[in-house]
Amino acid sequence: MNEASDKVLIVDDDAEIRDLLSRYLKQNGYAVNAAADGAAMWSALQSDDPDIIILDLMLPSVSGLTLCRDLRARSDTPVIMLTARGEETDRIVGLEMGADDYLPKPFNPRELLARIKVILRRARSMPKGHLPEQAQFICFADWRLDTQERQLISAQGVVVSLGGSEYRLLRVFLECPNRILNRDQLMDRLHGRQVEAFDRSIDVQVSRLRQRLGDDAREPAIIKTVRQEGYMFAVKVIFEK
Amino acid sequence: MKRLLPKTLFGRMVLIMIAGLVISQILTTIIFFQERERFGLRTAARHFGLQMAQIIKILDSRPVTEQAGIVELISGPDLTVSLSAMAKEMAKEMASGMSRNDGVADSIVTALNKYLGDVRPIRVWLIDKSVDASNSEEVDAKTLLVQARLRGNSWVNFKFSINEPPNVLVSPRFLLSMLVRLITVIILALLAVRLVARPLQTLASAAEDLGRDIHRPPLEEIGPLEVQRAASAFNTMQRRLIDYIQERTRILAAVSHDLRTPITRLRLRTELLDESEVRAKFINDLEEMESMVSATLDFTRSVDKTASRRDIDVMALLESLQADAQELGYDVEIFGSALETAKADPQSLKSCIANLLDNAWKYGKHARIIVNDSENELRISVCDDGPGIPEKEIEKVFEPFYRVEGSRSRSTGGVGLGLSIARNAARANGGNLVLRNRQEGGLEATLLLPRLA
Repeated sequence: MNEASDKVLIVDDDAEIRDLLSRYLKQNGYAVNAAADGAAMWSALQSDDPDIIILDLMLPSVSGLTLCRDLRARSDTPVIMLTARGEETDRIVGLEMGADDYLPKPFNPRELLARIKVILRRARSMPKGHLPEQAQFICFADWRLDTQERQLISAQGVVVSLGGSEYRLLRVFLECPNRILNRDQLMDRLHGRQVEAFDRSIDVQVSRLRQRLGDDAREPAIIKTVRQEGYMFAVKVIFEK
Repeated sequence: MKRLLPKTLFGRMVLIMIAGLVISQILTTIIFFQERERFGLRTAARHFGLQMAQIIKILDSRPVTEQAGIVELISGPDLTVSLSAMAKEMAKEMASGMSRNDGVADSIVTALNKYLGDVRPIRVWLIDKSVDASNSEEVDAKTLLVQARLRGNSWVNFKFSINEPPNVLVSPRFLLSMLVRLITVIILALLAVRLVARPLQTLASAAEDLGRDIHRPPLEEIGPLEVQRAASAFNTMQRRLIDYIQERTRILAAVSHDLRTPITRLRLRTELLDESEVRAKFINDLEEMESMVSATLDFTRSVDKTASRRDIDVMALLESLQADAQELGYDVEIFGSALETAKADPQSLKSCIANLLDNAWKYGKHARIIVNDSENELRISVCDDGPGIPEKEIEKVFEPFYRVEGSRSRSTGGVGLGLSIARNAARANGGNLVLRNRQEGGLEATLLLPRLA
């Protein structure tokens, strides 16, 4: 396993969860360190530099949100937020504070593992120092993407819903506008796996996303097809803080 | 009797006011006519008294031979004067027609005595001419007969015809005034009814709204004191209901909430188990618990949810749900299309249809979405080919945690919150959710969203 050396820092006030999660992640080949609160997290960070931090939202004294914001000011270590709350607003605030992903408790441990994998891959493929942009609204062409509600809003203010994979694909494009992304890269960022031979699922998803965006498949203006190479998101992207 | 009573408040009010008007009119008319007759006769008596006194004075001052000529000269159509040697006796039939003279005779005698300045024998009769109709053409008249003794011991007889005033009860003027009064009464009744009925209607529609949206804005406490009190009582009731629901919801949410940490621990513990067979069973159980907890939290949120409505591309919403479903390996077909965007809260509308689709897959293999759009209403039906729901349980299935008998096993039955969540979501968007067993078999759940003008 190439993740063998990846170091995970768990910050959770529940001793049992800390312990169980450590054992689980170790079993899956990660090097794990754990902290019970903010203070412990900062001291752990001084001695060690983790590849990813799993941060509980509800912590005593200093909340996970505050910690996340402070963390972002110092480093770009990816953060996955855990919380016992499933409220939409927590997810929004969490992402605004700079978390890379969010997982509500009770989470499926395998799901957490998959997310860690995707985020680590993405962090590695990004140039050092590049932070994923955090914004509630991302504007492109005539559209505004509401990242809280995961829906598109047209120039006329009409809400256009997106399916889960449509949304994820759009986010991948929005993160690297005006760059050619081949099918392998797209697949990797979407699912953390390589394209299998003759797999056309990416093309199907792209055509569906185009349809959603009202992008003419024959002469697409937003998601352009680059022959033999892949796709390019060919419009300007503005992050609205 | 009750059947004759008008159904509406307006009808009853008009009835009462018209009855009041008619009764008071009758009483007034009776009193009016009585008074007028008495007053009129007394005035006439004084007038006749003066006239007769003058004639008597003239006759007294003349020799008997000239008297006949004078009498003839004075007689006219309304007054006949004659002379006789003796006092006349009344004819029998005339006497029987004598009306109550209401002091008319006294008035005449008093007037005569006053104008003549002496006291002499005077006899007065008042006769209803109607009784005497056989020998007169005038029906609406009375006859006043007066005899007085002259100085020469002969008698003078006066016979006045008193014309009665025409019958005002059928005169156009009277009818017109009655009509005006009736119209006034109806208008007043309308105003009064509006005064009473408007707050009642407001209250009724507020109560109706309350069923759909417990968070509807409170009633304005304005108007007459009674109306204010009713509105304030209604508002208090609404606040208590909201408090009550919120308390229950909080308890439910708190329990579900606190279950999450132990479930998380259990899931992790399970993953660390060595025996894969036991592990798989644990995971199954835990997933079930987890879905119950999240369904319960979804439900509590759907109760609290106050929808913020926006324009939604309905077809995009359905297609995105279709795409998500296909990713999970479920089959959804969409028929029909929406004419235009719908005004609703995107999240709750989505959760409503998602819950209906979940149900469709649970009980049937295929889900079909049928969209019917019109000017008044957008209908989104989710049909399955499952067994449907027994007719008598078709409303009960909306109750939280209710499951149709026979589907108690959670593998098919779920938690019993999906339809409650879906209906809450539909109502939060001003619509409704109805279920129907299809004739071809299977259930049809229809979301009705009124299109507001």
